[in-house]
Amino acid sequence: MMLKTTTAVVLAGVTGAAFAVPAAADDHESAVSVLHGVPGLTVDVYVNGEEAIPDFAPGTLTEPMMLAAGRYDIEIYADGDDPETAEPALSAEDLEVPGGANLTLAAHLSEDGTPTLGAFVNDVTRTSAGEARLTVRHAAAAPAVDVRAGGSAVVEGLTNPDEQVLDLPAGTVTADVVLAGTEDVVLGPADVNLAEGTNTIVYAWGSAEEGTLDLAVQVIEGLHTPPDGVPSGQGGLADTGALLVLALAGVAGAVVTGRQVIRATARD
Amino acid sequence: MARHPAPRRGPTRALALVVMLVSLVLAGWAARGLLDEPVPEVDAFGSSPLSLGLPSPSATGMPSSPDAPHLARSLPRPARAPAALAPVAEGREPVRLRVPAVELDVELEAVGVATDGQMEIPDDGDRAGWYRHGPRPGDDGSVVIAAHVDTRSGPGAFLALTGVAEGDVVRVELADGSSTAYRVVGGEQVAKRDLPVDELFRRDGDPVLRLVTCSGDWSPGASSYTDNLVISAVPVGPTEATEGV
Repeated sequence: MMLKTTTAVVLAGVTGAAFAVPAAADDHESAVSVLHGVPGLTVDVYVNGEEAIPDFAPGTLTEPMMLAAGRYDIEIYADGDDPETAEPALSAEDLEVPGGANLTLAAHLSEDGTPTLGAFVNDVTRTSAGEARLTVRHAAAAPAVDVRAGGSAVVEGLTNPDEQVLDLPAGTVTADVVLAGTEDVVLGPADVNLAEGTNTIVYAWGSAEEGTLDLAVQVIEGLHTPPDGVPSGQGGLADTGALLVLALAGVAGAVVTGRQVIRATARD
Repeated sequence: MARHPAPRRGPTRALALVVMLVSLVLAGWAARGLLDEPVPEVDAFGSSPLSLGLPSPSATGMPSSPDAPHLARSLPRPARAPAALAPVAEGREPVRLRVPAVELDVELEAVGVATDGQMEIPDDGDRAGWYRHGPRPGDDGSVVIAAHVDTRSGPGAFLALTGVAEGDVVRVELADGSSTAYRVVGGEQVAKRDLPVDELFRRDGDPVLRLVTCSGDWSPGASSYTDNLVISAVPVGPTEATEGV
């Protein structure tokens, strides 16, 4: 294939926070999902020389694989090419997978349209009760964009291959993608369900020039936090109505007799 | 003769003082009664109280093949799916809750989390709230429905929970017209500070319905009750569901 590009992907920047991973149980392995975001090319993905994802079509995403921490060689061949003889369309040597992280390996176009292989670290720290996390990733051959949700820009000036992460109240938002600083809609609008306790990762992929821009969505569940408690009473129980009457009667009696005492005292 | 009626004044004032003191004591006692234990105490019952939990949530995630010595051979072949935007599903929200044995019949609202981090409860004491971020009836995990035991103006719908017994049928109607039947298996009064919220609000594992309200003593300082009452119910089959309704 003529698409050969070798991208050295160094997974620096895996923060300590990424280690509190519900899905990736320990420090010895990481959850790795693979996204195919290069339009028009079905591929076979080889990991350390073994075919791991055959017939991988654009716009599809794998379930997370648990990979032991270590170094991996990733080679991506056009569907059906023999790795013994063909050149890979894309490859990454010595890709370092840390322990205890949640990653997405994405084959996508760079801003100028060159296929590339990139690794994103997914934020799987817990979300606050009632909130969802929205991650927006620019993985398309397109200029800088703004992402609007409910009419207002929530992400501004995002460029390939950057991302932005926001925690928002859970719910369905109507989102679209516009060229940065303009009203020119390039994607959407679409209703995106930001389910509580998830990291909903939205990728813009494809090529603006070739008219293949699209959205891909990855949802990581299980980041939820329960509410702190259930405050289900206000203290006005009516089966204590008799007590209320007694209390009022007592107060009234005290007031009447108190006035009597004061009046008698005043007469002294 | 027009002298002060002094001999009569002392006893009158003393009597008034005594009556006033008695009245104050009465008012105080009644007020204390108002503040203390307004909700009937409920003894734990059933075989599946909250603290015991139900069988632990099923393990999730991909198998990690720890026994395969060579990495290359242990690589799983991951399942895959189109990464297209999923449509937003509607229709399976619970809308009504009935417990015929205690004549409880309330409409439900979908509720979330209040600004203080606690579960939202409908202000209207005649309505109950379903925790919309958790499971729906029919899903795995714990469906949580809560309502006030009382409001400032009187009893709330879930005061009736204090009369629920093991085996009572609970029916939850959904927005699409279907309904799910449950059978009460346990009830427990838990101090709020000990409420096991992870278990109560768990999102996987065996399906269970939790009906929650307040109980214990009213704490005027905290403007809340000291305890929660949690009734647990498990789904029943279609034949069993027709009994007792």
